[in-house]
Amino acid sequence: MTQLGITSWATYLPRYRLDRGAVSKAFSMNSGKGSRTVASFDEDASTMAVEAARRTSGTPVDTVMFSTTHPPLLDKGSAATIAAVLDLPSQITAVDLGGSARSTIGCLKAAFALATPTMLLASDMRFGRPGSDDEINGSDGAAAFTFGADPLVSLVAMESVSSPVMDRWRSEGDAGSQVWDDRWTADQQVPLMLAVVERVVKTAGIAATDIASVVVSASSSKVAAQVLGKLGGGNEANVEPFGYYGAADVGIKLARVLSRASANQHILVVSGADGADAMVLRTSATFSTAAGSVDDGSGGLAVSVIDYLAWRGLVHREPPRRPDPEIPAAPAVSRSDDWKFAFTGTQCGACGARHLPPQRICMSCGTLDKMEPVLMQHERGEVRTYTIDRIAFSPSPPVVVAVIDFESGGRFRCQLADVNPDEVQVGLKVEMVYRLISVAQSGIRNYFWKARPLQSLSKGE
Amino acid sequence: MTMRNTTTQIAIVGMGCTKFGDHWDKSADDLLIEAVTSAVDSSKGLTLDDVDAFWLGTTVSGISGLVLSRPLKLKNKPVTRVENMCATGSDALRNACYAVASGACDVAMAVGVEKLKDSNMQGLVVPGAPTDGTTADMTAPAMFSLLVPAYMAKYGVSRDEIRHVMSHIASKNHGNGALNPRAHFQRAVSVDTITQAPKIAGDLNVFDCSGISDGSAAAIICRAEDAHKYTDSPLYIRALALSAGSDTGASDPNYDYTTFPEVAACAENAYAQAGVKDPSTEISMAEVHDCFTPTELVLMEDLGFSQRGEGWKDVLAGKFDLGGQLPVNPDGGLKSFGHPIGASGLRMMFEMWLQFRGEAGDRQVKNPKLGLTHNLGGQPGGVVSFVSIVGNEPR
Repeated sequence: MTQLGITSWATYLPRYRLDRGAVSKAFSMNSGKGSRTVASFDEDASTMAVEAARRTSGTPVDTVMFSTTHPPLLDKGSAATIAAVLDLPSQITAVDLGGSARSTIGCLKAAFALATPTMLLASDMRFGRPGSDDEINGSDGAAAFTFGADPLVSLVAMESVSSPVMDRWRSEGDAGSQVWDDRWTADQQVPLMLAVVERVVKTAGIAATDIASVVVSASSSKVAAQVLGKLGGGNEANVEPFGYYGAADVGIKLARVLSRASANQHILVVSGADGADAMVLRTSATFSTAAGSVDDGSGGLAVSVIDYLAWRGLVHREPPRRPDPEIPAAPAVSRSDDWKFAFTGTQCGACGARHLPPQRICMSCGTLDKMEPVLMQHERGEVRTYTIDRIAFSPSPPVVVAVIDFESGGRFRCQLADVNPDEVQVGLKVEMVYRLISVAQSGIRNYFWKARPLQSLSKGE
Repeated sequence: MTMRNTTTQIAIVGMGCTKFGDHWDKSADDLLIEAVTSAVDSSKGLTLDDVDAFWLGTTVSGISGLVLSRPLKLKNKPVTRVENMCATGSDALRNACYAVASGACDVAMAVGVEKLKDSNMQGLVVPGAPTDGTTADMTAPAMFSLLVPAYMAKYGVSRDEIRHVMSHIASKNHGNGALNPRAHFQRAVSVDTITQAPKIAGDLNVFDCSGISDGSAAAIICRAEDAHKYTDSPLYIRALALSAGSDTGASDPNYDYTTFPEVAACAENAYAQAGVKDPSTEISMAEVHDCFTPTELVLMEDLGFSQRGEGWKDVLAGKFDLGGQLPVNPDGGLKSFGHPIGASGLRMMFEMWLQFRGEAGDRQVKNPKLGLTHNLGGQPGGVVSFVSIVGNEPR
């Protein structure tokens, strides 16, 4: 049996940016420089995982692992939904793994160990009480890896140490995490990380000088900086422009290193969470960066501090005097699940007219029940007409709704995501993205597809 | 498709209409009693007992015929509740007419009512069936604002020009409403004031939207041959047409958001019934469904009052002003008379009733020959549309 390994990788960074200077001003404190990425009001760990997954090569898998510290739902997983959105066969194992940033390390270990192809999705949102370290130095994003035969990246060795260090904690229902004094954390964490590095290099049977690139991931920037310094860092891939991505951090940083790597190189990955883990990876002789798609985070849109707080539910606006958002009825969803999740419409077998949503009788020729499914999530379209609805309820008004005509045929009317209302015009080119439509008071999250001005998905193609 | 005129001619012999507005002090029952009583009083020698059957139009103010029989204390008369979105009032009238035409009854009443102001909600709230949650939720102004960019792009109209057209329509309807003691908003508003108001959805501002109001209206219907038993000035129904679209506009790339195809089809049918060849010269006045100003613009073309792409120029030329060639919404329309959903179609007919009897006061249209009412429900891409043609002579 040949060992499986990484066959493709991709990352997704949400489009919005929170300026640390604006946070400093809002809370009269020093929050440092630069900006962090912010998931839009209609994104969460699940939708960001979908975005990253859609940028991978799309090789068949029989296991999907979804790792996050901010699962959109508890008790019910998100992985099965993500798999349906990705139009993967239903006969797969789709599982959620979470609880801590270390879950992603566990997924990596498992994916390398499994005998069958796997997709690993690591996605996270970092936020906390206004002015907290997680708010200022955290960032939102997702990474995706596919594992299969003929890998471009293989696992050479892995070493771990588990420790009950209480560096951070969050109870169910808490808005964000709290942390212990990070000088104490650094004194505990740094030696653990350095010790596993020493062990893994030995196990791998290589010299420290054989290592071409290093990935260091730790929630405390102090810990990460100290480890990098000891390992003779200065590796520019570790100069993270936005912040710490939680469960997605090791994935986003590894993907960035892979997209600069060459054939036959050793890469050291070291992570500090609930102890420490270190891996030595090796790129294959046939390694090519073409298998990756890394979001460089360019083209961000600024979000104000107050909007950011409202999006995370840390500020509550007066709601309009309108009914609670419509909830998707579970039986209605299950009757149309190809449409609801994968954005699969139908095409008339008699005349070719496309129907979004699916219909039984063709609107064009009247033929009954001669429809064939047609997957529309990858189709590009353009705006035929649009409106900016300033009175509809939204966590981030105004709502922009457009009528989208697809280049390959078919029409759908939906909200526009990640859009500056001033940039919308008839003829604007768009692509489809999976987003949150609403969250009802009951907690039911209604997800569906929106259109976004053509941008990042095309980067990976 | 066969859809023809009734073989028996129909007349309206009594009508009543409340003032529309914020009736904090009146219930739906109060409004119904007021409209029904004044309809009965407007005919001669007719009592409520003479009415054989009732059609009640309401969208959200109650369910079943009991909404009418309860306040009126009707004893075992047939009462049917009608709902067809914003065309509800017109469809109640249409069904009452067909009942009389069929010979099943001699005198029928159509009543419309809506009590919207008790809800503590902004805008209209219409409960719907559970769904899979995949249809984009939009407010009504947003839905109809989709007409504006599409019309501009198709006909090369600039944003300033379309704004001026919309403001002209709103100003005209506010001006007409200022002459109407039953209107919700009885105040003239200048084009400049309208143009400068902040936007609420697309290019629409608050002056581009119809009022949300409480109100009720009622009509008494009988065979044309019996009309003079009940009034000296009957209003004769010359055509009744209704079309429900297949609601595919939001998924059909062939739909271009500059027209309501259902309205054009419905108007064509009504004109055929009434023998109208050129509506722009043969129709003396029209009450149309101006839920939003771009709706009225597009309707001018769909109803054949303007050539395609020319409606905006006709609006600016004053063709549809009160003193123009074809006055549209002389009573102020939905814009200033207000829009209690179930009552609106019958309110339109009430203006025809007044105008053809010469009772429209300062907004009286001189010597009308044929009048048209147009009522629609839904949104661009999927509507139900109603058109009637009426006059003071039978066919």
